Amino acid sequence: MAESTALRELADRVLAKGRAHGFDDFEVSAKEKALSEMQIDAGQVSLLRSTNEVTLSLRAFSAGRMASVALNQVDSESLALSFQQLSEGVQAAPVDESRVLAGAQSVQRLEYGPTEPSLEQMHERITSFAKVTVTEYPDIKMEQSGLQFFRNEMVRLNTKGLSISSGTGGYSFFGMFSGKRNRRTSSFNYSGGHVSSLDRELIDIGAVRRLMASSVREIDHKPLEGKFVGPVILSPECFMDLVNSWLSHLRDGTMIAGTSRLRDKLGQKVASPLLHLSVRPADALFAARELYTSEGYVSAPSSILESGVLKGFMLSDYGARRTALSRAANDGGNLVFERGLSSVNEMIDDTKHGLFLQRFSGGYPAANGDFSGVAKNSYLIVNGELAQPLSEVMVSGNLFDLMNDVVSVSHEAVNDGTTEVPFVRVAKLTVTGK
Amino acid sequence: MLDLRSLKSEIASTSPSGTSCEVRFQENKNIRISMLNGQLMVNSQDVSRGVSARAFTGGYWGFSSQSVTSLETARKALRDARRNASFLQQRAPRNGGLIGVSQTSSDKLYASRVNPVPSSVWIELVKSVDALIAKRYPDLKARSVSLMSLHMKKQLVTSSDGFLSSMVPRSHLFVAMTKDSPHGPIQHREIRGGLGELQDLFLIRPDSLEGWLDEIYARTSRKAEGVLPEAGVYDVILDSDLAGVLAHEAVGHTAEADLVLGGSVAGDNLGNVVASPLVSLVDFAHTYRGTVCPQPVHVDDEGVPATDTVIIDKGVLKTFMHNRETAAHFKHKATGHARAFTFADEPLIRMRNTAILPGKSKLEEMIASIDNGYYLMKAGNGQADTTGEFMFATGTGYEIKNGKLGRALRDSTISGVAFDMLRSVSMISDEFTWESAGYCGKKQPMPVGMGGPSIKARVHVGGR
Repeated sequence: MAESTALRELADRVLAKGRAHGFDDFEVSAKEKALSEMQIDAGQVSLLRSTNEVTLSLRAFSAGRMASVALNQVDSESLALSFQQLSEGVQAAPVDESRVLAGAQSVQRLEYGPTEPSLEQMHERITSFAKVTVTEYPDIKMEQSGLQFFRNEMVRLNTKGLSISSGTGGYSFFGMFSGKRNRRTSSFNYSGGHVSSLDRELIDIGAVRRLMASSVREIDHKPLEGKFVGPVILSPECFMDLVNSWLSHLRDGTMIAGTSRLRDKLGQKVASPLLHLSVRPADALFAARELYTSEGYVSAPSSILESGVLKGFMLSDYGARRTALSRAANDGGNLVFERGLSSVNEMIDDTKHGLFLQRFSGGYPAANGDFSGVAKNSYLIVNGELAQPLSEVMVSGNLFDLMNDVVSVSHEAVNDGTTEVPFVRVAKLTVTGK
Repeated sequence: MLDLRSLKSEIASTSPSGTSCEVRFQENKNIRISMLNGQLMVNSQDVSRGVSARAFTGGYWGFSSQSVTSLETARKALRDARRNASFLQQRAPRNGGLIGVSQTSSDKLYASRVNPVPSSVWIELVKSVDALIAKRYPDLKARSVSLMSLHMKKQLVTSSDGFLSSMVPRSHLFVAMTKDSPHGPIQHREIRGGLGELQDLFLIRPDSLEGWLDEIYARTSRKAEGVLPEAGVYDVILDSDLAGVLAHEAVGHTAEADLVLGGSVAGDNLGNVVASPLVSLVDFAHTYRGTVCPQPVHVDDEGVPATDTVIIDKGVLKTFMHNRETAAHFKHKATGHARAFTFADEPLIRMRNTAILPGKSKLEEMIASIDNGYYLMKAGNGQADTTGEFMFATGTGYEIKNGKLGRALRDSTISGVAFDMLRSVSMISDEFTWESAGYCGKKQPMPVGMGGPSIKARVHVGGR
């Protein structure tokens, strides 16, 4: 589909204003976002919501100083105020020569996904989801859940010659639920993901079906007595939560601050040899894809871990200049952990006494990687069986130890439309009951 | 600013009996300035403005929004909202109604009486604070200083002849310091600010912050030499800064009526004793003890007057927090808890200023009463659960050994089951403080206030 002429004209008009304003460099990103959403409340479809918004993000540079503003009004008065704010911001900012705009890119237009929602099909799917849930999982209580269609158009131009646009569309489903029977309730859980069409039932997206079945069993949760240090199997959702914190040590914030614990580890073993992690932007494997980086570069594939060896950081161009390292080829938007050889059942079979951790509800890990939190929707494993759903159990460990302690990786994986992640088994975490 | 009052009669006359609608204008303004180790990482201002409409017909809600702000786009949003509700209504019947709302009018603007100043003033303040930290504490591994403000301006007209105009600003200064330790880098962060625009709170001399910065540095240093708690269940003192998070996360969420309908444990306990008789927990609308709360709400985004909601009174669970639909479902009074974060968001049930009320004990005697436990002081992120099991991060604390404070603690997490924990409360202090920088996450983010005294209770402490 061709780019939006109106959005291109708007971006051209604002770029011309930026040039006329006398900044050394100037960039505009114009976006139009359209959303249609159907929502379930307490098990019933309750809301149809549609939104439309045009936004402008402006960045100005003068003598090595940078400021940015964002607005969603395109009238002359609003633009004039924004340029005044940019001028004030630029004048007061300290000099930082590491801020450099992206130049012309090899690909000017990228797009994927449907352009219009099918409201009839959305209604059919979400109604079916509510019915299937009641039929197949009568002990499931639905919390707020929703099916969205999104369409985003973007045009980005700057005085360095950047001229790119994108059009992206698709459906996104989020289901939140808990098991409830009489006065007993499981912990809530949730799943969902992005899909490019509604050719399958919503209950089959992400890990919804697995987690609903599990939630029913979790109604009979019991507290764990005592404490042990032992093997833990992490669900893909749970593993990814912790991995995201680990990845923050490869990104701008900690790398620039000097607090990253992986700063000097390029080319070294930082994780289990079973872990292979890559970024595959624009890959058809995913329904929601990273096309350009947040700085305007065309996103390209990259490798982060190969057999546990750190192959690359996740630095922006700015972060790379600040740290004298290389810019990452992407923003890390589409992560893929290579699948392993074990099945989840084999992992459980191989565990004499451990924990099956399905959701981690914890504090943000400390700067040194220490973490602790509650094991939600989780099970005690005894002699190779999921013996007991648990409550009031805490798990603690260290991110860097955890990544090194992975002893098996499953061949099953969850693709939520943006990432693909398997189950992993780690040798030891601290598990504490009452 | 767009004036929606001219739409009032039009909305009322086009809303048949049994239907309801509201039209809202909203503007959110953000200023964010952030420095990391002396480098300006963020220097941005953004404005999000638009109109939205929501219509209730035949048990269904329709919602629509436009970022172009005019009376014409407001009318279009209303037509689209009604069309969306009709789309659902035509495909299946749905039971459900709304509790009635009487005519309401509210005009509460917390805008500054001080003229705005250029953003350069705020950049200079952040630069000066950063330079002060760099000069005073040269052994830090990293430092960050951020100044942030959010102003939410709303105007609402409803088919019940309601009118709301509000402007609620809040502004905060964040300082984080990181030191090396044998356990790796250790960070400590503190926040100051609250209700008000930047010029209300931060037209200050940077050196007036020296005492506060010294305290942050001292806490960072003690934490760098600190220990992880020994994981297990302990008697703890939760400082007043934590008690508000406890009120919000552990109890508040379970008493939100939409979560009750989703199976929350509070649904089975209305009228039951769920806490020690020492515990009373209130979600304040806008004022406590004659002082405006951090997040004042006078009329909510459905046009319902916001009232103080006593959730727990002397240990007994008294009521839930409602929007118009859940109030009708439960046949309770409307409480004015429906709020939307941006113009493009539909109102959801959200807490406003949730607090545990103070007791009579002194903090010192509370600490002295514990042989082996912890004094936990600063809260991080938290999460609630339908089961009542909660967790939140703690960023500062001390061991308590034989009634005395011991070694400092590194970051940890505490958890418990809300009503079990509340039943274990054996002492509540006589002080009270508000925490004003919190955001609650529930489909949309939302600024909230959380407050309380110090509390002695039994919780599960994560750690080594």
